[in-house]
Amino acid sequence: MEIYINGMACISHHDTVDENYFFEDIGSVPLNNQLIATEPNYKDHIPANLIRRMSHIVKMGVSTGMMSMKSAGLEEVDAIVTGTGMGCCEDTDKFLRMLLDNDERFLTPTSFIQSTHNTVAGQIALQIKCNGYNFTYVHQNLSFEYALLDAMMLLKEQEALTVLVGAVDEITPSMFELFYRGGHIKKLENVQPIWNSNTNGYIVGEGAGFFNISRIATPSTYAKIKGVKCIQGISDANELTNEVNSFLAEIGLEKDQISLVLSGNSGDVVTDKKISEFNKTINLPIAYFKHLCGEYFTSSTFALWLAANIIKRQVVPNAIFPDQAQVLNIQNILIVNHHEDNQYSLMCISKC
Amino acid sequence: MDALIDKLKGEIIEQLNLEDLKKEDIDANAPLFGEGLGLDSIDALELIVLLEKNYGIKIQDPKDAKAIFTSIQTMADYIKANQK
Repeated sequence: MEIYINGMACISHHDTVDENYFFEDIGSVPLNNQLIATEPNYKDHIPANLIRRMSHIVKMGVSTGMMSMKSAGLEEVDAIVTGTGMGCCEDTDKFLRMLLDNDERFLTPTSFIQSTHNTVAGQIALQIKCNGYNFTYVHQNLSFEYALLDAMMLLKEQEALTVLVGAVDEITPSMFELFYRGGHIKKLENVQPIWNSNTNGYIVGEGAGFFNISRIATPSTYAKIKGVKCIQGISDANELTNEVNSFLAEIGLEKDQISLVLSGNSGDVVTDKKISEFNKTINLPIAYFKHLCGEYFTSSTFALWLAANIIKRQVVPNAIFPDQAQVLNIQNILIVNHHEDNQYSLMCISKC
Repeated sequence: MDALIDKLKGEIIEQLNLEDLKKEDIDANAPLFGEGLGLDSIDALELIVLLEKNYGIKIQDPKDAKAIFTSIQTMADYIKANQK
């Protein structure tokens, strides 16, 4: 059974909510070690009386979900499945700070009820009046992939015909401070093109990506999803190559049928070692995405959105493709992602 | 009393994130719930905490809440009558 992406939307550091924008004005080197999301006018997507209680991550997630629904031309879906690596950190910070500052008294409910991991999926369900399956996966770097696998299972088992699936993560000042102090985030002076980086740490980011997927293609279809695979750690680049080869065999593709690989290099010279070695030996055109969106637990939503756009437009933006070779007739794109060499994921989408 | 009403308006705007409203947009006699400001039950909990935290007033009988939170004017009257 084929599964189609019939609508999608993405909020990222760049103006990705503009349907006509596709990184024409972007260079290969980010100018910061923190890529904050460019926010749309949320009032275009969320009723004003609901916005006032929503934190940054909830607004990003709900509005991206609503934009995806609009892109697919749908007003309702059978199920909503979301993922988040860290959840609603801003409201969690706020609630914990209130506990401390007020000596555990005077606690108000809003930041508590808005800080659960399922807030985004719940708020979308309320807005589109969806009483169906509603679930959120929280598995660090594989949160979106598990949400997508679940959504695909709902379609394959005929439990749903249309599913809204997506993920969202935010960076808050306190998170930035903690990750920076822990050496995870690059020092500003060490920011380099991620495919040539010889410095420690990654460029941190945030964003949201949502996809309307279905068993039935429509005129708005972007691509079809061939497969998704989650891998908990690998020993070396050879094992990653073996995982990719077995994944391609499972989905019925030969290596030379892959037009482009989107590689999840984060720019950290230490934890990118295996994926960089894989990129050198796989002998396929390699493009990159984390210099555009930054590193966050659900950055693979950005990669999937980018890949589906490349397939539909048949254009590879210069900003992601250091080879600058001409890649024509893009049929299949393989996304290889990882987070700090711990969790790897593979996703493959194809032209319809 | 006018100063207290003005202060309450600012506190309510901040506490309930009524970011599109200014103090002068709020009629002190307009209903807080349903029509008027259109607040809901979560806002009611926020207002109870606001009274306790900012004015040291704890509502002892929940049945009184409906009358106290009718409008900003009734809130101000209650604060004036009960603040120590």
